[in-house]
Amino acid sequence: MKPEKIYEAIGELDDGILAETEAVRETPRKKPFRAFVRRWGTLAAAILIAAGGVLYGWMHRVEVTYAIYPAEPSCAATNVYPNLEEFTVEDYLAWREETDRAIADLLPEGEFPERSTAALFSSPSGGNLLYSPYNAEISLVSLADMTAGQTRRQLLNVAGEEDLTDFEKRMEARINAIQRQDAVALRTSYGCLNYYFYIPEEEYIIDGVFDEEKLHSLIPTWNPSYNNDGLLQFRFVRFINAVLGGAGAGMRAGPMRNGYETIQIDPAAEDTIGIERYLYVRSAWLDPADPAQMRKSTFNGKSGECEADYVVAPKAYAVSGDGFSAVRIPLLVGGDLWLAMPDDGLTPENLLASGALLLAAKSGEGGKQTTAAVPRFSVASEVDLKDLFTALGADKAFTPGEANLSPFFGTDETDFETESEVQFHRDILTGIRDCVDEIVTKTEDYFAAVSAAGASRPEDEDRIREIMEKLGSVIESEQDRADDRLRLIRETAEDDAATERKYAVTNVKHPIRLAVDETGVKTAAYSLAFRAPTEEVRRGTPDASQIIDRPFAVLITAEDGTILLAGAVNDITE
Amino acid sequence: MQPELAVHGSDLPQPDAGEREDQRIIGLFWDRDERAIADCAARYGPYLMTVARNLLPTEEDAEECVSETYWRAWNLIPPKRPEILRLFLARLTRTAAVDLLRNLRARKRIPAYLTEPYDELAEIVSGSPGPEDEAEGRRLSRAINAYLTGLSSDARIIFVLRYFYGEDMKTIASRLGCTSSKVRSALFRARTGLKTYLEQEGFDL
Repeated sequence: MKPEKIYEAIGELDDGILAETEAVRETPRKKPFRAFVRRWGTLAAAILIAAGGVLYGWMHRVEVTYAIYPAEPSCAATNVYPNLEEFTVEDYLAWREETDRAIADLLPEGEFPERSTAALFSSPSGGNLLYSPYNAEISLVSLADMTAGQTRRQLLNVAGEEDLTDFEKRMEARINAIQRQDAVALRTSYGCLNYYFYIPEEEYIIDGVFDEEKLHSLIPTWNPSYNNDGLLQFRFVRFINAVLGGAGAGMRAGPMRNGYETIQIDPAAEDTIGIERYLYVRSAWLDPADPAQMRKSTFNGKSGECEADYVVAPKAYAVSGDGFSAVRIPLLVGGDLWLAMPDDGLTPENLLASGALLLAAKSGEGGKQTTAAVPRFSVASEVDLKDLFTALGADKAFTPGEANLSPFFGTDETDFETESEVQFHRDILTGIRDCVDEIVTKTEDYFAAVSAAGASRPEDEDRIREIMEKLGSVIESEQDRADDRLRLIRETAEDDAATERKYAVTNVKHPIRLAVDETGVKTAAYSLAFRAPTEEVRRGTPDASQIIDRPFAVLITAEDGTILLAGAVNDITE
Repeated sequence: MQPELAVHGSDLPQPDAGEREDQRIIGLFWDRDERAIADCAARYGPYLMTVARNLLPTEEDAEECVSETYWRAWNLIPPKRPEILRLFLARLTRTAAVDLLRNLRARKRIPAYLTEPYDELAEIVSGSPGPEDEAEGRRLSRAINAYLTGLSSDARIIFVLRYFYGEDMKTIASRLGCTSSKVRSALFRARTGLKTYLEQEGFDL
């Protein structure tokens, strides 16, 4: 059948159906995001207070530039599962089987996870250190997308990729494999939040810990939307703007531009625009632990002994390898929790640096069935991936004066076709650079941010106003242009020595919290609330074949073997 | 069994002023009175322009489409006696717009955003030639109506706003106070469901 037939047939809809829709068309449009404003009431209040000083800037704002959201690997199409609200377990399993077949075509994982993990753990800090290679790689692909020339090439080298498109394709496959929309269907599995953030850090990272309530309110709400072609980002910007009553504190949702979301930036604002890459993992053990089996016993941490509540996993698998003995505990959502104790003379960091443990974990199977006593713990750490990426050879992105972020800011002259547009764009560049003494770009693993700090206004405000107004109209008029044009810009943007560069990535934060408790395993990258003990725990040696009672390496793998989290836990008390 | 309700004349819903005006205009059509077109334009011209603008690239195209609407209404009434004139005209406008679009498409004069709804619907069919007869077209319309009737109100409204009125997702989201993502998801589900339904109904997609 030809599509015209369907399209024409829709022209013959019944009066009743049309009348229903007409009633909506005649109603004044609803204000979007009101629900979110309610949901985020407290946060909104906090933002309003924080943004008070910026309100002045908004009212007097004349200069607006824009940034193009870095492309990200697109995710699986939303709602592949047809009746999400009414699914049965059988339906779900059948659907999942189908998705499994699709994932069989998954492109192989690159070398970045092993290489970066080895590099990170080769110089241990001695404390606890947690790292998500998977999430770091997603950040890396975004960074590569928002950069150009040598800056991008360095980042691609770190990823072990020649070409950005290939990199994106690979990560797209990886994300599809990991997410699988289980979080939508069952709300027990992997999820990923990904949105613009424009809130001062102190509002949501308190003493280095993400506010858990906010986190948990976010997960069910945002997770399903994440998969929807990245529109979530745009929506979140609009939400923030709604909260701020239109005063976007320097950032506002820009128009869709060749299929990309844009954000508009007030270069004069001293606030932060954030792009968050978030990984959330939460799962029960496949075979739940019996809380009655919990025992209080000693954990011999690196910095000394401590008492720990040991949870017994009734079905684990003992795996030994070069330098370690480990237990693998299957997770309900697929994948495993690995806890590996090093042989004498070795440290957890050694295991992670050598690659032997990762290799064993990626294979995903095997081991002799056993029982394992695992201490209940909650640990956290934060690393700046900037140091890691730099050590791996990508330093330009973090070096003011060298970082080429032209694709992100849309500042490459090839962005426009005609000579007048090119000239105009040059004017804009000049205007922006005059406007902004320093635009610092921050990207973080879980929080990637662009901030305009220490900005001062240009002397010739009228000129800037003129430029920016014109820019606005150009942006509007460009909306219908083809995607491949922007792609071309990104591919052709080269380092141009003549251009003064004031943008740089300042850091790539990577905070993770990992928690394990008696409900089996609950783990979350970043942070997680976990239950307090519900009963008195008796002291005694836990009844298990394997007891994790000294520093260990921990891994969480997805079902396809992707290393979601790797860590060295030397002490279980913080 | 429930007792049959007696309906008295005074209980019957009385047409409001708008309906009376519609009836008057329809009467003019039946009387072959050309004031029918002028009155139609005065009463529904802006509304029909809104419908047409969503579907066509230029203001001139929209105006042409609305003029065509009046002409088609003139030819169809009588014998038809529309129950709801506004919706009858909206359907005609859309049909006229689709015809015009076909013409513009042949001349490659359509911006991409206008063809998006069409392209989305194209995903559920093979594109191979099928039966062209009118009866099959009517059967398809009936099936689509039946399918939409089974959807939730929100999903139905989103579908109609997108594929009948040609509105963009952002506008639809704004009308419903939801997000573009939700609209996109709902459309995806509706299309998938429609494909399944039509296949079950024996259509060779």
